[in-house]
Amino acid sequence: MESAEQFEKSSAEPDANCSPIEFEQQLRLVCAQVITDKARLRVYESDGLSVKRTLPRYVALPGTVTEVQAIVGLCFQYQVPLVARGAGTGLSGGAMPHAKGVLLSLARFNRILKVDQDNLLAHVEPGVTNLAISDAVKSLGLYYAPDPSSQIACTIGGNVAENSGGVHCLKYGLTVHNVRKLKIVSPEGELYEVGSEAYDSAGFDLLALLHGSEGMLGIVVEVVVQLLPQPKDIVVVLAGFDSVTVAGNTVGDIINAGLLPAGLEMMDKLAIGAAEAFVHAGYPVEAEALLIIELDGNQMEIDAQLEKLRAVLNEAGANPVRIARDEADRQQIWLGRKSAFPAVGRLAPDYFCMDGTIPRRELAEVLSQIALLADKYQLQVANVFHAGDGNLHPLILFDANNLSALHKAEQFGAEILTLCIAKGGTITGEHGVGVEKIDQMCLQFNEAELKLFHGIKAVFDTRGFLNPGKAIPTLNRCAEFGAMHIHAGNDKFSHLERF
Amino acid sequence: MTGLTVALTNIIEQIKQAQQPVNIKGGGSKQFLGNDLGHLQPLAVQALNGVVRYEPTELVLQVQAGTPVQDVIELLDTEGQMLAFEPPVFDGQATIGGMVAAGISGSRRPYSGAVRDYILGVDIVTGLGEHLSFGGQVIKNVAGYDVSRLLAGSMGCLGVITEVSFKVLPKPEFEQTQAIELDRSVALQQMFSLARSSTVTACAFYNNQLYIRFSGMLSSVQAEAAEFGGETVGAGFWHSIDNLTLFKAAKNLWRISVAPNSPHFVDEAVLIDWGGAQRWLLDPGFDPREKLTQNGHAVLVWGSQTEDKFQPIEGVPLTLHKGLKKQFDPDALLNPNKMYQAF
Repeated sequence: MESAEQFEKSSAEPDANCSPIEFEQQLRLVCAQVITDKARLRVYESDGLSVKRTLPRYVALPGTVTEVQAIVGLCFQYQVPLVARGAGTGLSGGAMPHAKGVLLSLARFNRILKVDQDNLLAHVEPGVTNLAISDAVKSLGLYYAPDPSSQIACTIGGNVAENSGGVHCLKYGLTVHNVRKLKIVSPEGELYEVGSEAYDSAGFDLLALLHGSEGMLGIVVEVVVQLLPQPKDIVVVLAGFDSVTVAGNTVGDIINAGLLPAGLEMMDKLAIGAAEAFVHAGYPVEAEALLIIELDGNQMEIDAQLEKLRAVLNEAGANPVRIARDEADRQQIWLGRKSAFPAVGRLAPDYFCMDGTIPRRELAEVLSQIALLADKYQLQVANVFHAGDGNLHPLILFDANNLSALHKAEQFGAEILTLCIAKGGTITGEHGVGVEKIDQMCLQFNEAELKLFHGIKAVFDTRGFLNPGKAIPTLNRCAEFGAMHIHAGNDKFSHLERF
Repeated sequence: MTGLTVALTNIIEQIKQAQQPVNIKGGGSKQFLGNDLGHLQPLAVQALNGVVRYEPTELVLQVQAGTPVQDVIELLDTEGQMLAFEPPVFDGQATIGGMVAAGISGSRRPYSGAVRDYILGVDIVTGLGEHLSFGGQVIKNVAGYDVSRLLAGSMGCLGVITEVSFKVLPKPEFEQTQAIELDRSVALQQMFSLARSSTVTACAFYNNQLYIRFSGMLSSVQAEAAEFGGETVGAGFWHSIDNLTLFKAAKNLWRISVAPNSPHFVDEAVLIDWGGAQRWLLDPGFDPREKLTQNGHAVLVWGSQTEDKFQPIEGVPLTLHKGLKKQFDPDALLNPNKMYQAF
């Protein structure tokens, strides 16, 4: 463990080397919009993970890239922690402020700079919302594919930071698959580009490395996204099942039939009931599980695929099977799924949304273990599942006003994540690590891997002031957490020290 | 960790002790890429051969790095699946590790994505002799920095790849390629509009012909192909581009990667594919890198006259490259200077 200290430094929280008053004066010189009064700071105290709150010392709202460069450069110079924020819809506390630091809001960067129809690209500022991109190119027959459920509010800069997914990932990929180029402000305040309008670039794939880096490596100030042609035709199929296992297996059968649905979602009984009561989507409330399958393409493609899908669903004994081809009907089916979180939210004062991913073959086993855990903790859990890509969202219901319930819910969530790792999966499919899952990182990665992550961080951020304390745990933290690396339950690192 | 991987970490440990840099070698099919490391001792990794796990219903394949790409393609074919980025197989010599390290994608790239887009997880041995595992066997995973994708195209400079997990895709039910004679500029315009069709999966201009491949359900492909017109040609055309056999007469082969509508080398290019975004220059008699603006890059795929065959990088990105190399391979033991003399 003697080596731990040296890289601990890179991720340790830096100490500012000037007084807060002095820094505020400097900050106001380079940025016209700075907030320091408590009432207005309150707006920024948390992101979508509202149980984790901290009041930032300063909020800066720059309007130009030059201002961003100056603010970042100032924080670099004085070693003041800097946390970037888009819309603050993240679910893992990645944009939770630092008590002694600057919260850098990129909300004012909300312009779509250019739509390039020949190359099917849009150049946008980081504060543009995900949905605004698709809205802006709709009349051109184009859209931006990744569609996180918060797409009406979440920003593209935040999507890059979290490598956000959505319900169409299986076919169209995550943010990293749909972004071609980034303009970044380095921790020193220098502007540089990674990626290109071409399909690839010289050198290492820094574009990939920056995706999902949770604001730890640089500040995104411009994003070039790839646009896709809108599918000519879409059909959505709703299928009910009397067993979760059969529904899970049917997902495999659909893939085996050579189909690659645009969306492939699953909900369990509690989630179905909650959604139906909330939005009346016509869901079969008596079913144990339902699948939502979206096919897209031209009309002949869809006809041929639908025929195959019907055969698979018949074989599996799905009942009912509802096929929606017109827009209103399709929207109604999706409405239930897209309202699942708020619908479940009506069942209890609070819920935690977990985000583990598992190999789908483990689904039945994982769901039955989650049910056992629900009994153990005496808490209810509803399951919503991006079935096509194995991303499971158990929603744990509790009352945060009851401290012991909050604690139980956190423990329940931690056990679910441990289970996901043990089954060969991961602690986060699309929400990011942030502060929420930082301890579980100790389970997923070993000492040498975490060390390399800290090394990468230090290459980009030599002073360790960008979003300090997030995403990658220090080895000391892991030692305190008291567990390390149980990856897939195997012992391939059994030669390594445990502590 | 398998016995072979243990052996590999031991070898790297010895290399480290001796400070003896190595030239990582799988099937040896792509030694022409990048700077010549023929003077270094080869580190053979072809023995790391075999499929670790293949779950067709999960669209996930986990395979050891020395496995021939051709074997993987044949295995996937038995389940009606494929590597969607159409990597070169180079007479069956190319291995999975080399495929990831070189990061070369084939004709389907603009429509289906690149090697890096399908990587789910990678195991490596670093220059410190540490065997590390990043990513996993699931399609969605955002825990930790995305080291797996960083390794795609890293030319062995960051570590010896020992195992890779991929997302695979169902093969289309049917494919058909049509060729039609067209003027160059008209063909390029056609490529832009064809990029909007959901069934187009390859698009190239060569010898005054526009080649288009349609993929999908039989009925739909036949209808689209008929509507496009021209002559039906074999799939071998795409294979000959992807495996570079079409260009074998060239002494100096340059690959130019640009935005589809870029004006660069439209007239000089012998072949334009990727819907306009990839252009091939055969013995142009000049260095195309000097003529390229920042949106795009050129690579001397093979040819002898140039040290550093890739487009130069500078500024912050160069600093980051050097820094990353130091983290993964501080003693510069693995493919030193393979991409650039600078690291």
